[in-house]
Amino acid sequence: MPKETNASESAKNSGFSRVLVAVYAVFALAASGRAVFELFTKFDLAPFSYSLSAASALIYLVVAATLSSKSAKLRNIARVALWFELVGVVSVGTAGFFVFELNHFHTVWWFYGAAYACLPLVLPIFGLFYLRRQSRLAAN
Amino acid sequence: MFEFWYFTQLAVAATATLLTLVLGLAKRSPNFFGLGSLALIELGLIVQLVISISVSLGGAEASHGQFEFFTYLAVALLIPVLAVFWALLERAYWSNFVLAVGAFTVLVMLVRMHTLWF
Repeated sequence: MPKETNASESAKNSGFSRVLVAVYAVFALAASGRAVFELFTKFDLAPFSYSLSAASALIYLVVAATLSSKSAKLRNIARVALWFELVGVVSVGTAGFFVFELNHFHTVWWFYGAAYACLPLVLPIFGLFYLRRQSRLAAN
Repeated sequence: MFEFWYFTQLAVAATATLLTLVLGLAKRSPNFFGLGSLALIELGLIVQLVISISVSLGGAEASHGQFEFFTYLAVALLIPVLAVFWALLERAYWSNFVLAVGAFTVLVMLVRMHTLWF
């Protein structure tokens, strides 16, 4: 692959990662706020409800912090977090169809993140593709 | 919160989102207009803070949670600052999309604040 194309692809990927991190930071903020709110208001549904919100907040924070990192080790952490996130949003989203008692699952991942324009479903997919492209570019 | 100011801010945030999106698609590096629109959002939020504090001191109250309203406002005040900072670390056209994310986030938070107040 000619060097110019690699550099411009690298720059494009780098720019893309900045946008992803920005969106993840916003979601980390939203999920954290939600987790704190649920901690105070849904204490009786302890501990599953707010543990799930806290878990999603933590995952978003980890991804926001590690996704655009130069270190391959940190990017591997991001990859693991992204898979956790994808599994989380798909399982919580699907569980919503079977569990009619809503309160336990009311997190950012409810109904595949429908309350957030399904971004919670789309984001990890983008993130994983970005990481794959980044590894390929770094290998060249 | 003052409905008039709320709608003004909505308009500014929506315009900023669209403007920065267009600038990004046109592959312009972050320029005066993109950054300026975020600065306008920040200014509007500061005015909002002043309005909300003086109205609250006068005895008015948010209908669905005073504390939540001001928490949202406090966080919203941070967003344009963080967005500009993160966008300027790398002066490529992608930075405009970072600004767009910031502007859109403030837009959503404004709507939420409106629900909390009225």
